Amino acid sequence: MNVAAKIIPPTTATDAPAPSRRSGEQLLKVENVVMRFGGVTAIKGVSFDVRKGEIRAIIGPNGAGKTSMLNVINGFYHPQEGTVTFKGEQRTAMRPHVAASQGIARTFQNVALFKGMTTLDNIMTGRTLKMKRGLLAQGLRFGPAIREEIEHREVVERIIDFLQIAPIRKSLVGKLPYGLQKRVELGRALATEPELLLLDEPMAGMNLEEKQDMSRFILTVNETFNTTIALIEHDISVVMDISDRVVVLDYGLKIADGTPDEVQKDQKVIDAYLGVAH
Amino acid sequence: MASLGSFLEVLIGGLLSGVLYSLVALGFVLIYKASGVFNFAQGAMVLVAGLALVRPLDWLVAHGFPNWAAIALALVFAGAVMALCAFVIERYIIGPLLNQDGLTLFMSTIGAGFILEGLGQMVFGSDVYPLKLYPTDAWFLFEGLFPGGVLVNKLDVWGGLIAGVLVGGLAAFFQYTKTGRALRAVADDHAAAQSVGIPISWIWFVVWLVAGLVALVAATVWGTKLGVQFSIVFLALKALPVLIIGGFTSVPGAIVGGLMVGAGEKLAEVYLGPFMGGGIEYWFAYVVALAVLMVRPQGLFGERIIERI
Repeated sequence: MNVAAKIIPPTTATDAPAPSRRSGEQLLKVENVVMRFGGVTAIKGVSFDVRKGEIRAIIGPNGAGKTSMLNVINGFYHPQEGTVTFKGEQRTAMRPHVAASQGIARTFQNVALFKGMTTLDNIMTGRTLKMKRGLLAQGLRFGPAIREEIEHREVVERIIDFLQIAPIRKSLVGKLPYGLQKRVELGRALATEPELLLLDEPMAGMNLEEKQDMSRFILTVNETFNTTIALIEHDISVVMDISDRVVVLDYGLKIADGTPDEVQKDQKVIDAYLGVAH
Repeated sequence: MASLGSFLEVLIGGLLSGVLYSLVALGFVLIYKASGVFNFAQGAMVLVAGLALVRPLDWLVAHGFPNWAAIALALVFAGAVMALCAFVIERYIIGPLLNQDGLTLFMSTIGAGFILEGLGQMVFGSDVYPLKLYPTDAWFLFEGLFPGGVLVNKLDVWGGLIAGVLVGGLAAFFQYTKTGRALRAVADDHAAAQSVGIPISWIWFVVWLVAGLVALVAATVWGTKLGVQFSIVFLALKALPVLIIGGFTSVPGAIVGGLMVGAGEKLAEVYLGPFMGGGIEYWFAYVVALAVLMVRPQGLFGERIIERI
């Protein structure tokens, strides 16, 4: 029996194979990153790159260091060794809000929304960096400040329409079902108009239909806005369908890197996923 | 049974002194809203603000500055001291504890409170310093309607006016500015707020600064009433039932809670006191708070907490 076929079930989410955009220039380069927590080394010298306009998947079994990798990229973690180069600028550490201002947005594995706020307000927070009017003008609702608010509201309303969450615009997000919360979170990240969008398990806990919707949103974002996307996902069939290139981590090491086709034939990947007899 | 006139007098006096509780409670609400931290140092901040105001004020007046100039300079100085406090607290106490548990942050504010009390008194002195910023005499209203009229303290009226202006300003700040929205975002989730580009350290500085300035305003009113002295710190304890009644996250809640506590304890003292041997004023607010906790744990205006299991 073909092992690869077992791990990677037939296409479900979308039919067309994702076009390859591998010729694009490098947007992000991670080099020899080492991330230790006390005695535990979560990432042991990993290097890979993300090219402009592609969908890059990071996969691997639990505890492989995928989320740690995202945290390094957007500045939540500061790696002990190695560098991260974004838009040609090399750094070892960056603060998260600076990463955001440079065009890196993200979502979280366990949805991190502002639960006491409405869907609309949650997505509006994504516009924080784009709003320039002073405190006083906003507080007193001067003309230019109102115009600015309206401008940003329009952007946010377009995102809401795109994600088909108009009916829940005014709902407190804490009360929404999980699948919708994930969508709101994506909306908030999109509102920052990122160049690089990091998605940490965007489809975790979703049913098939929700996964298809989310895959469609991700592909549309990538194609329409030419947003580069790096995502972590456990559903291998989804990963193989929507991503251009895949990097595979296992126990903090990179064990494979290539197109979905190359990766799913890789013996080390098959071993990592199914376990191997020693 | 007392007359309607004296009932009104007690009610108005109670409501207006409740405004003073609201002023202290406001400082708590601000910080709680923006960082999810119950700031035990708020009382100490009122003390420090009062001391930093009254001591330079006395000094300036003694050195021949005209009153208006002395008051303006002393206010600016006290404001600067509160800004410095906000900076130091954010930088060295709250900032390093980013993404930590709420209880950890709470404990750190207890520590900050002790430091502020100690340093404040070391630098500015620890006596009782009288402060005269507002008129302290009284009006007699409705003298035609009730024998003797209804006595209203001018100081309390000033306190009420100031609280009204503060609440209006803060409500606009929270509701209409991006910083206000960012504040609410930070309160809900530190990491998520950072990921959309909200600089947390700046937001926290702003919050502590605003809370410090509210403490300064509270200090001007309380200082005029009682003199600036150490016991102001214990006002913070009176703000606790106010917060429980109004809700920890609600600016209007702080005001309504303060009014209820102020009016409630004065009325209870006057009308129930004789039957219970008096002294009701000291515990009445806590009993009301306990009752509210049983019926509506989030407070009258607080956000309902929904916990998914």
